[in-house]
Amino acid sequence: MLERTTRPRALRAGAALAVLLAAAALAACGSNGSGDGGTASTAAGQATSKTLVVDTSAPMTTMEPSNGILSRLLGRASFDTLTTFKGSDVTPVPSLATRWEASADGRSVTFELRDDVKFADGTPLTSADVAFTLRRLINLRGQASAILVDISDVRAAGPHTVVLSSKLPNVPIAAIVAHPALGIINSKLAKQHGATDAADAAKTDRAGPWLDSGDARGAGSGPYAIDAFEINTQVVLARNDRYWGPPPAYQKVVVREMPNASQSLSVQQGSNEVAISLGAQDLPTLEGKGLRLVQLVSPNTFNLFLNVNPSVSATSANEHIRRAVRAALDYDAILALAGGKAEQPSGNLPNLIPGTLPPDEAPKHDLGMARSEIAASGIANPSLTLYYVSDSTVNGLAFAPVAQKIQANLAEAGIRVQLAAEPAATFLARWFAGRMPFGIITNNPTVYDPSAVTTFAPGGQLATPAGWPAGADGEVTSAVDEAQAATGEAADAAWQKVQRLLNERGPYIGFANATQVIVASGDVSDMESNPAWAVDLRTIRPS
Amino acid sequence: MTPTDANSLLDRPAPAADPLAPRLRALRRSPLVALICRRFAALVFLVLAIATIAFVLTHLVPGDPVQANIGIEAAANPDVVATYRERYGFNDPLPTQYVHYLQGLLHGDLGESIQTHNAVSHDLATFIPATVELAVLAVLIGALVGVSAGVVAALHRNRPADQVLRVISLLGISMPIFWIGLVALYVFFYKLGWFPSSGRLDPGVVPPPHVTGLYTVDALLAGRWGTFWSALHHLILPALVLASSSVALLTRFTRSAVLEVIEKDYVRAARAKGLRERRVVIGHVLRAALPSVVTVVGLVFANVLTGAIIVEYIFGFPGMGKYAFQSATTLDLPAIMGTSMFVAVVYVTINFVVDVLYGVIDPRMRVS
Repeated sequence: MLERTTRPRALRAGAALAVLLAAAALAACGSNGSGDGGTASTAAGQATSKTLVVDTSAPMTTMEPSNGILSRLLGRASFDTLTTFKGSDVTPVPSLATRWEASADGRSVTFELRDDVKFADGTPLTSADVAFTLRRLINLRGQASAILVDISDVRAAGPHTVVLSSKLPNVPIAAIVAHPALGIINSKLAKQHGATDAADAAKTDRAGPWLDSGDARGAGSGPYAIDAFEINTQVVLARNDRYWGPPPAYQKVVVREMPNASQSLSVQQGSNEVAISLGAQDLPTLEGKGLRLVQLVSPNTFNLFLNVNPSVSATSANEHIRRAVRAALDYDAILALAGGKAEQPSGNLPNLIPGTLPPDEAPKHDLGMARSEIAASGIANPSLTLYYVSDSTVNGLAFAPVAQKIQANLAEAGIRVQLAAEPAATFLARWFAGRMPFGIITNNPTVYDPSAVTTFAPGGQLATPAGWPAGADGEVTSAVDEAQAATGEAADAAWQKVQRLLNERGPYIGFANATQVIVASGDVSDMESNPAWAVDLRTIRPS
Repeated sequence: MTPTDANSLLDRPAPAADPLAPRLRALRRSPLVALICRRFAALVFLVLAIATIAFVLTHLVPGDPVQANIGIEAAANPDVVATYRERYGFNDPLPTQYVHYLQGLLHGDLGESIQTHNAVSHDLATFIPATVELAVLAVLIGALVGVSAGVVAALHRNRPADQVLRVISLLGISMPIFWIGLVALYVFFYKLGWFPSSGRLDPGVVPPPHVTGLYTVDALLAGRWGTFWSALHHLILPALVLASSSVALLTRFTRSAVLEVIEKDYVRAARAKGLRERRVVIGHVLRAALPSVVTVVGLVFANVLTGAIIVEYIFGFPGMGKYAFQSATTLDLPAIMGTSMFVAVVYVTINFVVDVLYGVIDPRMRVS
C-alpha cells in the first residue's frame, strides 16, 4: 500500500528536478555568454563581437597596479607604459615615450611623450599624469614601489616631457618603466576618486576601491578598459575606442580566476579561450587536440642558496661546501624534471636578459670536483637541512620533486640532506629573518637588465637574508660599483664580471628556468608572448 | 471607619485591568521563552569566547602575514614591509591588538584584508551570498533526496530497495568530496559538456543589480531570465557535489529515526483505525521522527555553509570557502579571523535555531 502512495510522489519529485536541470541546461546553452540585457556596454558596429576568455590561476584580489600581481596581464591590456617590449624581446622600445635620452652624469633620463594619446574617457595624457602615477606608486610603498626602488625623483619638465632621476648612475630607467605595473593612470580622474601622490600616500590614498570597479573605465589609455571587476572571480575588459594604437580585435576580454586543473579541461572545451597558468607537465594531455601551444622559458629562476653566515650554519657558510654543492647538482636531470623548454641559467638571472653570461659559463655537474671540495672543507660527514615551499608551484613545477632530486645529487657527492617543507608564509618569515641555512627560492626580476643581479650582491635585497650584508665581500662590491658607473659595451662586460664573481662566491646557485605554457583554443591566433606578461592581450586575435 | 466609608470602598470602581498583563505573565512563565533566553545568553558568551580563541590561535601561527602577502620582491624591501605592518597594526603589542579587535567587533568592523585591501566585512558580504546560494541549493537537494530515500529505506527495511539505498549512502559518506568533485567536473563538464566548469555566471555576463547577493534571486527580481538560468546552470554541479555527502548522511539518519518510530503503538493504532498509509507516514511517523532529522539538517546546513571550501576551490566558485582558503594560505590574519568568526557565529546560531525549533516541535523539550 505504501509503495503505491509514496513511489509516485518520489517519482514526481525526481521528474520535477530532472525537468529543472534540463531546462537550466537548455536555457543556459541558448543564452551562453549573453545573459539578457546583462552584457557590458559595447560600442556598436565594430570589427568583431567576439569575447576572448583568458584563464589564470593568479588571484583576482585587486586591479590596483601598485599591487603588481595582476598587472602583468591586465595592466598590459588597460594601461600604457612609457616604454614597452616588442614580441618576445625584452629590449625597451617606444610606447608613450617616443624617445629618451640619458643625462651626461647618467643620473637622469628625459622622456619625450606622444601628444596624441587620450585616456578612455577622452582626457589627453600629459606629463602630469606620468609624474603623478610614478610618484604615487613610489609613495604608496606597495608591491610596485619595489620596481621603482632606484628612482629618486619624477618631474614633469613640459606638457609632454618627463624627467626621471635615479639615486645611482646608469640605472636602466628605460627598462624599468616598461614594467606593466607602471601603467600611467588618468591623474585628474584618479584624484577625484581619492588618489594622491603625496609623501603620505600609503596612509591617505583612497583610490583602491575605485580602481577595482567598472567606474575606473577612464583610468587607462590602453586598448581595453576595465568594465567590471568581481573579486576572486573575473575581470571584464571592454574595447577602448579611443586607443591610439592598432585597434584591438575583441569587443570584450574576460579574465577568469581558475585552478590549473580546470584550465586544462576548460581550454580543451572552449572557444576563443586562452589558459596561461599551465606548465610542461600538462603538455602530454594537450598535444594533438587542435590547440595552439606556446612554450616559453619562464623568467622565474629557481635558485638554491646557502647561508654564508657561520652563526646560522658553519656547513653552509663554508666556501668549499658551497663549491661542492654547485658542482654536485645534476643540472640536466633537474631540467628533465621541469620538462618542456626548461633551461639552465648561466648565473642567477634568466638567460633571456641581454648581457647575462653565455650558456657555456653555466655551472656544470662535476662529481669529482664536488667530492674534492668536500674533502677540502674540513667538515666530516657534512649535513644540511634543505627548506622549500610546500604549498605552491611555479610554472606548474612543484618544489618537492626538485628538492628530492637535489637531495639525491648531494648524497651522491657525500653531503647528507634532510628535507623540510614549509608553507610559503612560514618559509618566507624564516628566510627573511636570515635564519635559513639552505633553501630553494624563485626570483622573477622586476627589470630585464643585467643590473638586476645586484639583488644577489652583498647588501642586495636577496643577499641579505642569505647572510651576505653590505661590505661582506669587497671584491664583489667593487665590481658592482664599476658596473654601475660604466656605460655601453663596457657596462655589459662589467656586469658579466659581477655575475662570474657571484657564480664563484655568492650564496645563490641559479639552476633552472621552468617552462611557461600558454594554451589557446584553435580559433585564436597571433599570440605574442613575452616574459613580462606571458600573453599579450593587445595583439591576440581570432583566427 | 463608618459603614458609609466601608460601602464607599466596596462601591469604588476597581482599577482598570491591563489587558496585556495576563499575557505577559503567561509569557514570563512560558518554558519556551525561558529556553530562548537561556540559549541566547549562551550564544553571546560563546561568540565572545570564540573571538578570543580565534585571535589567540591566529596570532600563534608562525610566519609574517605581511611577507606572505606582498611577494618576494616587495617583501625584500624593508620600507614596504614597514609600511604594511604599520597599516595593519602589527607593530602594536598583542594585548593592544586584541583590544582593537574586540572594539572593532562591537562595531561590526573586522579589519582590512591584506590580500584584497577591502574591509573584511565587505569581502564577507560579497562572498557569503555566493556560499549561501550554493549551500541552500545543496541542502535542499540533500534534504529532499536524503529524507525521501531514508523514509523509503525504512519502510522497505531489509528488502532490496533498502539494501541498495544503504550501499549508496555508504558510498556517499565514504568517498572524499574532492574526488567526487573532480570526477563530476571531468564527466559532466569535460566529457558531456552539460555544465560549466567555474564561476557563478557565463563569461562576460554582468551580475544582476545587487539586492540579496544571490544571483538567482536578484536576477528574478530584475526580470533577467537569461541571467537567472546562467546562475542556476553554474550552481547545479557544485551543489550536487556538495549535496552528495548530505544525501548519504540524511538517508541513514532518517532511516534510523523512522525505524525507531514505526513500530510504536500509536502508529499501529493509526493504521488500525484505517487511516491511509500516506497519512500515517506523514502525520504520525515523520512528525515523530522530525525532531532528530531537523537537528541533523540544521547541522548539515552549517557544515555545508562553512565547509564548502573544497567544492568552491575545484569549481572556482567565488564563495566564502575560497576566500577562507586563500586567506589561510596567504596568512591574511584579519580575513582569517573574520571568516573564523563567521563560521563560529553560523554554527552557534544554527544550533540556537535548532534548539528553539526542537522546543516548538516537541513540547516536552520546553520543560526539560
